[in-house]
Amino acid sequence: MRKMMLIWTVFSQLVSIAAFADVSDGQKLFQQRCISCHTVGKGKGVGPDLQGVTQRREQAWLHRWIREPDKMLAENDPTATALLKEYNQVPMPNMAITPEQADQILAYLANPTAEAAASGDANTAAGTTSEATSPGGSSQAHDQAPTFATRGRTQNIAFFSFLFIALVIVLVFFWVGSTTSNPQTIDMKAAYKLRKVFFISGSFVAMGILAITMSKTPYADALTTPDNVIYATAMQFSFTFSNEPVSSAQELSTVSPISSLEIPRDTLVEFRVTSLDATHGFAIYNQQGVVFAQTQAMPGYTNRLRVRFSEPGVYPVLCLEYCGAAHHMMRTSLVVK
Amino acid sequence: MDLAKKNTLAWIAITLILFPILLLLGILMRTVQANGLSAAQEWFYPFMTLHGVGMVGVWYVGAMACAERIIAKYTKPSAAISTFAIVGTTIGVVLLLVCVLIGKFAAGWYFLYPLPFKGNWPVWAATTFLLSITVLGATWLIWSLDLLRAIAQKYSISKALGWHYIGGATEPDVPPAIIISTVSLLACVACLLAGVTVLVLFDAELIAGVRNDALLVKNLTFFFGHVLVNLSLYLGVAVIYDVLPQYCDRPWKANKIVAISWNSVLAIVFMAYFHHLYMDFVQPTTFQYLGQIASYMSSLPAAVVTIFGALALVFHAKMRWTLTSALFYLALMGWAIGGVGAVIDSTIAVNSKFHNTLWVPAHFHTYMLEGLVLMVLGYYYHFVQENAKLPESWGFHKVILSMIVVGGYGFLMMFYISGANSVPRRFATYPAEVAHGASYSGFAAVFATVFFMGLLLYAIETGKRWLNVRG
Amino acid sequence: MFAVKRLVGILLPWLLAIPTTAAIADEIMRTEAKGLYKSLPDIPVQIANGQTQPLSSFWKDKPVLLTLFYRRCSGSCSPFLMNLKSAVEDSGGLGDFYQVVALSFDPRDTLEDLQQSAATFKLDQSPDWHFAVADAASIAKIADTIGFWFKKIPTDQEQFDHPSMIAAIRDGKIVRVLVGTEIPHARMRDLIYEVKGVFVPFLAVPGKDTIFRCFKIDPKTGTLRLDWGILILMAPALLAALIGYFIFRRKPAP
Repeated sequence: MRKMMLIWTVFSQLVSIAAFADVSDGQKLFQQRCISCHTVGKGKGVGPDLQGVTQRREQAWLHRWIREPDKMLAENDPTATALLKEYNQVPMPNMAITPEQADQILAYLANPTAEAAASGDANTAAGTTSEATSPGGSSQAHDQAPTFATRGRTQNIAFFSFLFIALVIVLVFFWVGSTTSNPQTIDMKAAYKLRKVFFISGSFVAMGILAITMSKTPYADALTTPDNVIYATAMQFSFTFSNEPVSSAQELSTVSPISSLEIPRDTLVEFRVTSLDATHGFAIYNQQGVVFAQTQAMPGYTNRLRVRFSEPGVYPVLCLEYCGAAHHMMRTSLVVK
Repeated sequence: MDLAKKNTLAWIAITLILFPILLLLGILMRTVQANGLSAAQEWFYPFMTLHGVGMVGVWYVGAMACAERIIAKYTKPSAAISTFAIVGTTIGVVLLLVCVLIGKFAAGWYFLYPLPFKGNWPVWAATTFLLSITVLGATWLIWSLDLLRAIAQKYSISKALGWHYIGGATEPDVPPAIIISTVSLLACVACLLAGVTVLVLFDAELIAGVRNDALLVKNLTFFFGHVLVNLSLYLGVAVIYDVLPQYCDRPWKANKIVAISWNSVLAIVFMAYFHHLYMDFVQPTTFQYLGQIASYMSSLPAAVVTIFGALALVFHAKMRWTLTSALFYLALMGWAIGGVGAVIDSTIAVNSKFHNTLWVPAHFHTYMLEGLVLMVLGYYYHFVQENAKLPESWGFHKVILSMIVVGGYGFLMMFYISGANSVPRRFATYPAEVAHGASYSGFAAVFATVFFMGLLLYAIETGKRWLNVRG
Repeated sequence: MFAVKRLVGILLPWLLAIPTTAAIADEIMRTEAKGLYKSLPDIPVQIANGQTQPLSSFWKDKPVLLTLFYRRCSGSCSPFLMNLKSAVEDSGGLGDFYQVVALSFDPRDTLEDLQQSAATFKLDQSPDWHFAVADAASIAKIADTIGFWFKKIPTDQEQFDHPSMIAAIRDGKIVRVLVGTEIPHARMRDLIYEVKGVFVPFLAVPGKDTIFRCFKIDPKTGTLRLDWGILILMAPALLAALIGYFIFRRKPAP
């Protein structure tokens, strides 16, 4: 695995040199973070065309808007509110952009056609993605894949059982295939007997696994009460945490959102997850970048996800159900203390 | 040449034109995910939609076209309906291309309610998409019904489903392909009716302005989608049951166990789809558990019996290894491996870590790309070669097969590793937490290109014979 | 977006007709969550028959809807308790799965006042309605926990300024809180199910104009039931079986 990653690093650097050699940092950032909603000179997308935006609006306003649009909307910034209305109530998501990155994006937007000096640092193509700080403040990047130790027990068991069984299948197929070089008549009665053995033992194994795994479901248990309830409301393309349920877009503007959610460790938290538009996902990743727990955010329904965190730190939350143009940017995070 | 054969040739042409295009879209998507071709990023989701609907549709019609020829060996499907299916499918495809390429429609292949109404595409694009699906669904429903009618002309229901075998009789002989096709086509009618119900509910919202229950629509959507993909595979298996024995110099007959397993598939297949809703905690828990039990159970009879049967058929056989028999053999292997990935993911405890990660495309690409695709391609080659009888080069065919296996499994392995490492599916680019997803995407694009080359070589081999048959 | 507009077109007249309920609903939701899952202090209370017992003796038996009132209230208390009584009746009655404790927060209220209140609302014969008093310090603890407050009105020393509130208690923990004199029927039902331990998995939709819902709530038994929507799931398979039957009905030609 490690060897492969090494080969890949070399390969990806070659690709990134080829793909990004003539592109500025700002342009790269724009292409990675902004392009699914905005264009420069190609007309409206989900959000406005940003051609000449640096002349239309004040630098300071733009700078803050790029970094924390959610806060500005919460503060009812007049321009922000007007934009929200103009663009069908689809809010600009907080993309966790650092002040330096905002500078680079603005520099690009001020002069989008300029040929950027080749940056020489070939790694920035991947680097810009990993430099992003999560909104919780800590900057945990996972350019490195999870290892055996961090991948998660379930993932490891599933992955290696799969590899093992797949390997057995491949070996059996190749072995049986190779016997055709030596044609013989075979005893079908013996074959049927073997099939019976396979079928019965297969059934027992299946029932055994069913018995073991069916008790480990993530569904809320009526008998235990959680220590804390957090309402999580999804809407294209952001999540809102609150202490109160939200059942309409109208209500979303009246509740007070929890801007940075902090959860005490070792307490049982119940997330009541819903959506106000399309179906979204609500997946909590741990600090190693591994799925920790998830549920769906379905309009009209409230899914209860109960989680007990034991490790303190910043946990990113990603949308895992495809929900439209900026799906891959829909995210939030929470902090376990 | 009769019309039925001409139709099969038309299906081969349609498949071999659409498949490479859709495959290229897939490679493009993996490249965008690898942070290459950033300019194409805004097209990621529209292309994803086209790739998804296109592939599911192409391989469904591909499997149907093959099964139709097999059924035609024993009874007489209507050639006119078959022509109608080609026309209807073409219209559906054109509508689909219009809504995606001009309207930038991008709600994904299963257009999960209410996303088609919530996107940044114009109203007409969503309407055209729904219309396209309606045309395809209606066409395929009529096609399936005609094939069932053709089977019913010769076999009673108890013979067509092999109930006499279950009762202990060994006579009369019913080809396994007929039993499996009957099971698949009945499932097909049910799933297309579920699709129709989804479309009616969408239309009710569009026209009458009522609201829909998202949980209901999601259930119906996956009833439709899951069963459609499954039965496409079953039809492909039916073809293998019929054609592979010709290459092994041994018969492959139906018997009690075969009949029991395929009848149980018919009973179970409708409940397995619940595993798509594991992460919807409001779904009644009984359904969730049923979903896991049905997923496990549906793999046992069909896969164990079929795969064991196929291995017994090949074991020490006087095998004629050709492109067709090798593709069939590899297809069964791919089906088995993909099935293992699927069963693992259908475990609720595992699904809560794997749901909507790349593990999902990993397993379904395995049994599609290295399963169903090879079944259909194998039969296509068999069909044109039977009629053209051109000389074959086994050495060259081994090159094609190696490219398909190496390219395909390399590509799939990237999906599996990504899935195990929590990389989400359907992300145009990866955020910081899962930035390593980009590396796997790059590798996958390279491997997929190898597969694509292999496919082109296959297309040349089949194309030559196709032209020869066409005359 | 068009579907949303259409929806708005349909919903707008309906929304405009009841703007006040929407505002009340907001207030209810906002206050509701504050005390959620907190434990209630176990204070001693004296019920109308003169018996003194710890508050926990109620919730040990079965879940409790706790409300605060005082007898001389010329404002919201009477209409509120009437509303509560009818809401309970509308929701299928108390049944045997919960009880109501109405606790007076006015130190002047005596056992006679409690008996009189019970009689006023015709609840003196209902074994699951309890009117009770407690000492000022205990009342303050309870009020603080559930987020209730009261203060004397300067111009009228007889009267208090206070909200109307119901706290649903299960095993000594607050599982839901409702605020407001009006008791919206749907919210009351939700509260009763929650106190019973039934989670209601939807807030707004499936709502009024939803066709074929998956679930409904049975008001009598308080159980979540499957609705027509789920039954529709069986339709495709059944219909396919029927079609299969018709296709294979004719005897095949020999």
